[in-house]
Amino acid sequence: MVKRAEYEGLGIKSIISVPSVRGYLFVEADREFDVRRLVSAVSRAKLLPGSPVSMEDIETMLRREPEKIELETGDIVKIIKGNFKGYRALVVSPPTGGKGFVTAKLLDINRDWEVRLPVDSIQLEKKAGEVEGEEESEEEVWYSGLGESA
Amino acid sequence: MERGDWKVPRLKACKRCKALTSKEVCPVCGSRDLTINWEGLVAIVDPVRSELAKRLGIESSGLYALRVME
Ligand SMILES: [Zn+2]
Repeated sequence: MVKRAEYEGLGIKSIISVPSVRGYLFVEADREFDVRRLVSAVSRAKLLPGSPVSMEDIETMLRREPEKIELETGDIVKIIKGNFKGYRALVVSPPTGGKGFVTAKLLDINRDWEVRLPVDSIQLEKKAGEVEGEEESEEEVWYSGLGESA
Repeated sequence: MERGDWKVPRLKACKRCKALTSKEVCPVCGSRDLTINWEGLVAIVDPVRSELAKRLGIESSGLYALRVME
């Protein structure tokens, strides 16, 4: 898409993808016509109806980054960075003080394995209580970090 | 589009200027301090006229990360 924007001589100035507004691209151009032509050249893209987004709105969106994740014990997160990328994990202790690390037990693995993860390396997948169809054995001691283990 | 889509895999971001590259050296500032921990993608096509480029302080065209971790 970027290549097209460059090579087709459209009046496109920039394209931005903001993580907190997933699934959307914002295209900066002089005229809507340019955006329309760009979009029509990309099969999976379509132009949203409505008026253009102002640069101020874009800036607000950028300021809203980073996304705050509110995590609680029992939430299921997906690990999106680092050695365990792609794994899901069950939050054992949520981050304290708003920032930092969570302790979580890896799912999708046949071992009882707790890891400490920086909050920016995880994405909330399921809130506690919404869990359905999980094949976790309930006897697993995942409170071991809290001094409950013998 | 799905989550994480349009994030070109294997590109690394320069920790100094946020430029994205598939090489070992940043094409913009020449730094070798690159990371795969980045998110948000900015494609600057026309750095002279782009208001976004101005606001982000980007002076040359190319692909940039919005945020570089660490
Ligand atoms: Zn650089």
